[in-house]
Amino acid sequence: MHITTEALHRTSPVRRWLRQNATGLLFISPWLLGFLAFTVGPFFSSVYLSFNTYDLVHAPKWVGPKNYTTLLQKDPLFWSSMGVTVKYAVVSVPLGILVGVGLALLLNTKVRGQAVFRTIFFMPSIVPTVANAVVFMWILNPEIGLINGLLGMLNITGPSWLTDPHWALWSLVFMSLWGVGNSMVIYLAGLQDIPAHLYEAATVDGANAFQRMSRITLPLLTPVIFFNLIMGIIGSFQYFTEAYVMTKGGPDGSTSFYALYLFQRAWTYLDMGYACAMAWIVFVIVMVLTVIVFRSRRRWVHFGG
Amino acid sequence: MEGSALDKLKAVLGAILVVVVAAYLLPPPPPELHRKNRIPVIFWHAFSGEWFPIYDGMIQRFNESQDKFEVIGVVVPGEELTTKFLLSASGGATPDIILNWDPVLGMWSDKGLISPLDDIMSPAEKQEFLRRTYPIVKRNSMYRGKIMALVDGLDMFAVYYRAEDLKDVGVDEKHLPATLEDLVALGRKLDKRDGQGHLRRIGFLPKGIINLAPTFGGKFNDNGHIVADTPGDLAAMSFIGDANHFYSFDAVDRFTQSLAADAGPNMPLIAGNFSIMFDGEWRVKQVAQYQPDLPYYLAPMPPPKGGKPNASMSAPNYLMIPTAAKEKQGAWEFAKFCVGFLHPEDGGRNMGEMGWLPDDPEIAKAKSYLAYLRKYPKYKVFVDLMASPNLEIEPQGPLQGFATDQINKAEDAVSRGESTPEAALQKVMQQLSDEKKRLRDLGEPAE
Amino acid sequence: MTIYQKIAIYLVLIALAIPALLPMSWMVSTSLKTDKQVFATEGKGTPTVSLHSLVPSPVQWKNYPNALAAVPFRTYLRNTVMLCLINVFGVVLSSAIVAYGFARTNFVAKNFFFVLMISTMAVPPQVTMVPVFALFRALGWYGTYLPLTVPAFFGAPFFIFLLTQFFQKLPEDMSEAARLDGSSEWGIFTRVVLPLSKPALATCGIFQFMWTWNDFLGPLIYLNRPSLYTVAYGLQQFMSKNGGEWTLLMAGATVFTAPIIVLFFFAQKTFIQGIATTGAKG
Repeated sequence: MHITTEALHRTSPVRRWLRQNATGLLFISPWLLGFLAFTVGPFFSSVYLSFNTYDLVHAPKWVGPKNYTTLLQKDPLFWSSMGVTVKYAVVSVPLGILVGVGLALLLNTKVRGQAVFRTIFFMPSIVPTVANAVVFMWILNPEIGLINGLLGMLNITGPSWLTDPHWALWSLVFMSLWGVGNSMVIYLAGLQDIPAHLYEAATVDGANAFQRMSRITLPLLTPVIFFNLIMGIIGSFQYFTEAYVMTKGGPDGSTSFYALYLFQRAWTYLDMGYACAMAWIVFVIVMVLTVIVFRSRRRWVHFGG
Repeated sequence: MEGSALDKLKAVLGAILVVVVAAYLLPPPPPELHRKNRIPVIFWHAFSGEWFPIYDGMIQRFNESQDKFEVIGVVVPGEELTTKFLLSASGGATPDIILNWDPVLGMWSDKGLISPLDDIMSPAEKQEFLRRTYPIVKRNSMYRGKIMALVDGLDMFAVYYRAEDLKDVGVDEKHLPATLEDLVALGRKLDKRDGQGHLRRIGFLPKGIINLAPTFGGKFNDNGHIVADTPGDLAAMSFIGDANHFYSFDAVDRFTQSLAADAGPNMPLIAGNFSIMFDGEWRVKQVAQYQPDLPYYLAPMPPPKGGKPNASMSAPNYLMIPTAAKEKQGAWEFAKFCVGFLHPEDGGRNMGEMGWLPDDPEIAKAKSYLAYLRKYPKYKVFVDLMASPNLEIEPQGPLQGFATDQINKAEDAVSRGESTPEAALQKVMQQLSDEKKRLRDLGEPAE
Repeated sequence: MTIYQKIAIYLVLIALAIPALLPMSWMVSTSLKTDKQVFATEGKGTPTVSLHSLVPSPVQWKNYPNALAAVPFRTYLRNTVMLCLINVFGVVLSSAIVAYGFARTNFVAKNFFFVLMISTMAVPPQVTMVPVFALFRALGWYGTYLPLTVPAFFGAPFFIFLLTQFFQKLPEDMSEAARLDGSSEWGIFTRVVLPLSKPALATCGIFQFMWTWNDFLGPLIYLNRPSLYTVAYGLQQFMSKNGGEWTLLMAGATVFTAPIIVLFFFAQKTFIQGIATTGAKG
C-alpha cells in the first residue's frame, strides 16, 4: 500500500488503524466470527458451570469454588488420573515425533514403490477405533496373542499386557505408535517443501547424506515438528477413547486417564459442574505447556526462505 | 487477467455447489410417519445387530394392533444411549419412551428425568399391576414408593453344568451339588491342566460379587439404601478371593483372556473352558442357537452353609417414560404391549422371541409363552426362580453408578490379592460416605 | 544413492511394514471368516494366534453382502459422502484464508488471537458438549445436518495452525514482487500462496475427509432419524448387547476404511507433484 507520511498524518486515527489492520482482520474474520458464534458462548458457559453443580436437568446451583477445592484437595482420583495422563504424555509425545519424523524421512527417499509404502504406513491410523481396539486386544492377549506368541518362541513368558497393572499403560503407548501415520503425512508434506536446490548445493559442497539431513532437512522441518509437538501435547491430555473401549480405566487404575475420569463425572455421575472444573484445570495446564513451547520457538524453529 | 477470471469462475461454482448441497440437506422433515392420522410415539432403544429385527417386529405388531398411535423406533448404540438421552433431556427434546439397561432408575427418578407411571396409568391398572406382577419385578420397577418403569426383560442367574464334563467324574443330573461347598469341590475335580501346569479348563470360577452376594444372604440395596458390607457381602467377597487365591490371579487372568468370546458359537459354555458356570438366562437361547445338541444341566445356585437357596441377583431392562415426553399416553400403551401387562398373549410372544422372563404369572401361563417354553424347556428353571423369596435388586439412588463402580473395583482388588475382603468393602463404604458428604455440601440429594 | 543404500532402505521399510499392516490385515482376515473360525483352536486346546491363522479357510465372502444388508448402507454412504464433501470444501477454504491472515498480515493483537485460537483446542470437548448442544438447539438446528456442516465454514484451528506454519515458510520474494505490482493481499493469497501450498492443502483435505468420515459423536448427538445416519454411526450397530457380530463388524469396517485408503493412495500424487512446483520456486 502506498501511503505517504503526509497522507498518514492527514487521515484520522481510526482510518489509520483501519488501514493497518483491516486486511489482516478481514482474513481471519471467518475464524473470528465462528469463534464468537460457536465457541465463546459455550466456553463461558462451561466456566460458569464449573462454579455450580449442574446435573443437566435442574438449573445450575451456585457453589463458588467448591468444585475446585474438592478437586485439588479432597479427590485422590484427580491426582492419580493426572499422573497417568502425564506419564502417557511424557513418553508418547516424543516417541511419536521420533517415529513420525523417522518414517517420513524413510518414505521420502527415492526408491520405487513409495506410493505403496506410504499408504501402508498410513493405513493403521484410519482403521476405525472400535476395530483397532479389538485387533490390539487380540494381539496383546496373554494366552493367544501374537506378541506373547512371538515371545514364547524365544522362551519368554510375556506379561498379560492390558490386564497387568505394570504394563497396561505402556501397552497403550505402544498402541499409539500405530497412529503415527497422521503426523507422518504432515511431515511428508513438509519435506516436499524443502527446495531441491539446497540439497544440490550441499552435495556439490561435499556433504554426505547424514549431514544433509541434519543441516538442511531437520532444521527446515522444525516448523512442522513444532506443530506436531503442540498437537501431541494437547492430544495426549485428552486421550480417552482407547482407554474407554479397551481397559475402562483398569487394571487397578493404571489406565485411568484424566479425560476418562472427566467423562465419568460428566455423564455417569451427572456431575457436570465438577467435570467443567476438571476441564478448565487441564486447560490451564495445557495452555501453560503450550506457551512454554511457543516461547522456545525462537530457539529452535526455523523460518523463511 | 485470465487467472483472475478463472478464479472468479471457481468461486462462483463453489458457491453454487454450496447452495445446492445446502438446499438438499437443510429442511428438517417431520418424523417418518408411515401411517397418516396417527399420533407418533418416539421410542429409543439399543437393540441393534441380531436383535433389531425382533424388536422392530414387535413395534410393527403394536402399530398394527391399534390405530391411534404409531411407534417409531430409533436405534442408538448401547454405550451412548445414556449420553444421548441426557443431552436431549438437557434441551427438553426427549423421546416419548426409552428402553435402557444401564442401572439408572434411581438417579433418573431423583433428577426428575422420568415420570412416575402411577400418574399415567389408570387407578384400576395400578391396582392390577400391584396385584399380579411378580414381587421381584415390582421391586425392580419401583423407587421410593412409585412405579418408575416397567421391567422389559429381567436378567436372572443360575448354574449351568456341562453334562459331559460331569459324566467324566461320575456325576449325573440326579446328583448335582446340594451345597456351594460341594459345588466348589466338584469344580476343583474338573480342573484340567496341561503338561506345563497351565490351566486348560477351570471347573468353576466365581466372578461378579454383585451377582453372587444373594446366595450368601448379602445385598447391596437395603430398601433403597446402598450398602456394601453386610455379612453376606463379606462372605461372598471372601469366596471370590479364595477362589482367585487358589488358582493364582495371574493364571486366572491369562486363562480368562484366552477365552474366545463371551457370546456366539465359541462362548465358554460351549467351548468347554469352564465346566460349571453361574450365568444369566440369556444363555439358554444362545446355546440353542449355536449348539442345540450340547448336553447340560441347569439348576439354581446351591447355597453355602447358612446361605439362601434359590437366590439370584436380578438386573432389569427399564422401559421408562421421560418427563418431557410429548405423548405419554401412547408411550404407556406401547409399554404395556411390550412387556405384556394386560396383554398376556402378546407379552408371551415378545418375551419368547427375545428370550426373556415374564413380568407376571399371567404371561408365564399364556399359550404363546408356553410354546416358547416347550421349545426351550430348560428356561423353566428361571421362570420358577421368579417366585423365589431370595432375590435381590441392584443398588438404586443418586449414587448407584458410583457405588457399582467402587464395588467392582473392590472385587478386582480382592481378586488380585491386593486387599482383604473386609478392607475392600470398608473402603467402598468410606468412599460412599465421602461422596454423600460432598453432594450434601453442594446441596444435592445424596441418598 | 548407491545400490547398497537402496537395499538397506527397502529392508527397513519392509520390516516396518509388517507390523504396520497387522491391524488392517487382521480386520480383513476376520471379515472373511465364519463366526466359529474367528477363534479356531487349531487342535491345540486353546485358540492360538499365528500368521497361519490370518488366512481364513474357507473364505466367507458372504459376510460382505450380509454386512451391507444389515444396515441401510447405501443411504448412510450417500449421507456420509455428502457431509465429507461439504466439510472438506468449507474447512480447507476457510482455514486457508484465516491462516494467510495469521501468516502474512499484521494486525492488532495478532499473537494473542493466534494463541487464543490454539487454546480452543485444549478444552476437553465433553464439557463444551452440553452448552454447544444447547446453542444449536436454541438455533433450531437439532435433528438436522446443520451442526455438522456450518461450523466447517468458519475454519478449524487444527488446520489454521498447520497452514500458518506452511505459509510462514514460503519465501517472501514472490509475494513482495506481486505487491509491488499493485496486487491486493487477496490477489497474492489466491495467485501466489495458494498454488504453492498444494501439498499442505491436500493434507488438510484428506484429514478433514477422514475425520468427517469417521465422525461418530456428531451424528450421535444431533441426528435422530435413521435416514440421516452416517456410515460411522452404522458401524456401531454391529455391536449388540450380549456380544458383537465380529465378522460382520470387520466386514463393515473394511468397507468403511477402503475408500479412504484409495483416496489417500491417489491423493499422494499431489504431494509428489509438489516437488515439481517447489523446485520451480528455487
